[in-house]
Amino acid sequence: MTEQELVARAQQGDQDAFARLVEANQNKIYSLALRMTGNPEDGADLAQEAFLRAWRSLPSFQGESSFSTWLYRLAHNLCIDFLRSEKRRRDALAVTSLDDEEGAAPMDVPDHRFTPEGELERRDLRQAIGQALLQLSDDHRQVLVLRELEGLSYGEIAACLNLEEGTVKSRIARARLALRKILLADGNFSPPPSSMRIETNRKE
Amino acid sequence: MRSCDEITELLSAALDGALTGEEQAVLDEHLADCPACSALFADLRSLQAAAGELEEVPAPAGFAARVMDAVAADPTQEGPAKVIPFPQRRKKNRAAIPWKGWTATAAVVGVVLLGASLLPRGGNTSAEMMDNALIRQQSACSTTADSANGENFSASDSVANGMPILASEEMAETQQEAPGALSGELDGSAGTSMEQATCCGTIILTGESLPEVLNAYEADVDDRGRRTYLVSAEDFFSCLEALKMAEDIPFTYESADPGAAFGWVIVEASAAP
Repeated sequence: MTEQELVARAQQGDQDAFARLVEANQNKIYSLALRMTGNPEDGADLAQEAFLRAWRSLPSFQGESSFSTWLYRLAHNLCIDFLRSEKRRRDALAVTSLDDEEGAAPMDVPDHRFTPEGELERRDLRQAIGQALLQLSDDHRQVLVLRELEGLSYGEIAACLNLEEGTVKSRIARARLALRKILLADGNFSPPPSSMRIETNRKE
Repeated sequence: MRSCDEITELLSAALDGALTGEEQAVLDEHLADCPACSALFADLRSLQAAAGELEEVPAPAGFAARVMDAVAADPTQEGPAKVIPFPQRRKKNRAAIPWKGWTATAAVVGVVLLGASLLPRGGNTSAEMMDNALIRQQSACSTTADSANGENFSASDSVANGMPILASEEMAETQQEAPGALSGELDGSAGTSMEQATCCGTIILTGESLPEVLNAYEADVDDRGRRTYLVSAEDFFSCLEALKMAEDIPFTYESADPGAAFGWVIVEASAAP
């Protein structure tokens, strides 16, 4: 049965048809929610909520886009809402991490330069990045996910998270350095064989 | 000559295509002379490419089953519901109905009958049917609130009466579909009175800061990011007072039936990305 047929049945209240749609989309939606929230429990809760809302709103789905796309947008909006209320909660508690104090410390500049090309299978690197994302601070992970996975512009990210665009720009830069640092530390981003290694000190 | 420290942010922006011509020139000049930053740039480019192709993480075991459990427990679907406004009779007997599992936030006094297509299948008790009908009435109200927002919202619109308004053709059609099913099962066995359900009003507001009281509620979010809250009358009026006192949150307020037990608060999405 095609997605369209399943959707049509689900719109009439056919829960079995909807179950098939859930199975077809669960990994994609869960991945999004996991990476946005940063932990499996919140990710699973948010993903489940997305499907529940999709079920409830199904009769008003017009079919202008595919169901998967519509569902993904719904989940994305839910994640943004979650991030915003998370931010409000954290702001209210006035918890700031040193990572996020813009301009407080110079960016962590490594001494050595490594060229990772050809070092790891792309697939292993992707997997390592997926895991490293979850080790980032919330602030770093969120901007990186919105930029790299969701493809939002700096302006869009600023609007989503209620930040200044300049803050988004510098935070993304720091997040990228932090990600790289995690990968290097975990040994997932190895230096090339010595013949190709570039070790230089950066200019002051 | 810029320090490597300053260059790093330019590197990152370059990955996102967010450099001005001037910034690009500064970056190029630095990179021409700095193998260290050039190598860092290459690193970050690799990471960006790989990050853009992340594989899906499998949902945890039993995820789909849990979703379907939740769906089965709450099988309501919103959307273009066929709704039949309850005929304007008032019965003298106004016995309180012991709602099973009804939440405190919406002690609604009446029920709207629904078209046959939305009646629960199988043999439900009349109490369950009324529970379901009540839940659908809320949903119908919500849906109507949504569509009412599309046009200029005014107190005379359907939401003010808590009753969705249908074109008369539609009404005739749906009434034809299920006259027997409705009147037979609900009126007869339940022996209760039903009257028009009303809401005490609707507040529509924009902006990020919300009255505290809304934090206790779960909003229904549509895919334009607009949130709809169903709140108790008490909380509704607290919210109204808070908004009046805040003075800097734009909102509109339409009152309906001040005696009703619940109200709607709709939060428009702020300027979207």
